[in-house]
Amino acid sequence: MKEADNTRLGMFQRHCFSFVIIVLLAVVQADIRAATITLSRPVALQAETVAHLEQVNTISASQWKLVVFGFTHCKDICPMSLANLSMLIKTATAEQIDISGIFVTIDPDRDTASILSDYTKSFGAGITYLRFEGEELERFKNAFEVEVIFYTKNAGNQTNYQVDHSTTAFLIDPAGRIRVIFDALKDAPDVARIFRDNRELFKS
Amino acid sequence: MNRILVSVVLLMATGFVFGMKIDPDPRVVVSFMDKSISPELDILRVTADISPDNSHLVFQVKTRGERAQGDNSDYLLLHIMHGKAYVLLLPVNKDQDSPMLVYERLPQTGNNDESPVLGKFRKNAHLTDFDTAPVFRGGEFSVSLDWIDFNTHFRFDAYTVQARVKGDTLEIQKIYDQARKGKVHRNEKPLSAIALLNKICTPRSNDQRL
Repeated sequence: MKEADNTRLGMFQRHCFSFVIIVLLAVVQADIRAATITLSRPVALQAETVAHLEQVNTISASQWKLVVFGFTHCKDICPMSLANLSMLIKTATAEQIDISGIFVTIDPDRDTASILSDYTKSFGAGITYLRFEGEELERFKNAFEVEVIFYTKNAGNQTNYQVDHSTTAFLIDPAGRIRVIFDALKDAPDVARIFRDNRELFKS
Repeated sequence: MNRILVSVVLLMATGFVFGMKIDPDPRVVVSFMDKSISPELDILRVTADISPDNSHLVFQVKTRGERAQGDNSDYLLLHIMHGKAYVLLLPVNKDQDSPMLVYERLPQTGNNDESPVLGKFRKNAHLTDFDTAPVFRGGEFSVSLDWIDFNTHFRFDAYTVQARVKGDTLEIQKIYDQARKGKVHRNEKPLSAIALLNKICTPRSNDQRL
């Protein structure tokens, strides 16, 4: 009798476990949908923001720009975003689109220019970085509605903290207007398709 | 005594942490449960998300309950500030048909900041790529992304109201419940709709939340 009860309990636990896994998978599935938006009315960035984007030595005003935000201590999300950025630059270049990638650090206290230089180089040519501090960084982030939340960063802990941030990335035309908004982590295939198929976008 | 003190401190800390997590999210407006009003009129939360086909922003209003039939003048209302003030209506009664209409605020005197949806609105027949649909305990309002000007500030909130439609004019007569950013948020910077598209990366748990 007791053995039968144990068997039933074991089956019940397995069913519960399966149910939990199915629910978790459903949640993950719901979380991975893409959201690439090609704007019907481009967003004109302010002159200060455009000037910042063009202050990078390797970037000319006539280039399109892919902009992503992150921090070099990010374990996987930011590296994956930059790997996507690298892929997109290769795709765009193959389509004769003059483009550069820009990684903007949201964590300038730890991301020095030297660290950023090494970090972006490791993802290949065509990606550079921008580093701002204080109010300048706030204004730049606000221009793109970037959300950042620091955890456990305080006077006693200036090195080992984590940062949550929005993963929205931006395709900006040579006139300094946001043309496409996408998720740097999930939407790279969509944007690659835009490079290949939407030639009209790059003529306008 | 010490246990009580510790409990109070823990409760305060928990509330503070949850407050930090919930309040700054521009895609969510929380309205706390109010047992003094009927469950179908009691808004709990409003969330903004992008539709699966990337064509619309979907605002989902969740209430504590629902009803099939009742007063025909009770509505769920989505209020959008985007250049002008717009409202979209969905009957609270699940069985009640209602054409999808968008209304614009009529010019009026006085400061209506405390009750921004009370008063009269006029039908805007040109705005057609919008939709409403009832959901379990609530409703959804879909707003075309092509209509949104990402250069302009965007704000949304939701209400349950008593309203009267007469011809092209909508008059909001009474507010039962509201889900809007409170006074503490008045000094927040104006929001672009870009923020409503954001997904937040959380490297600590290697996942993302919408």
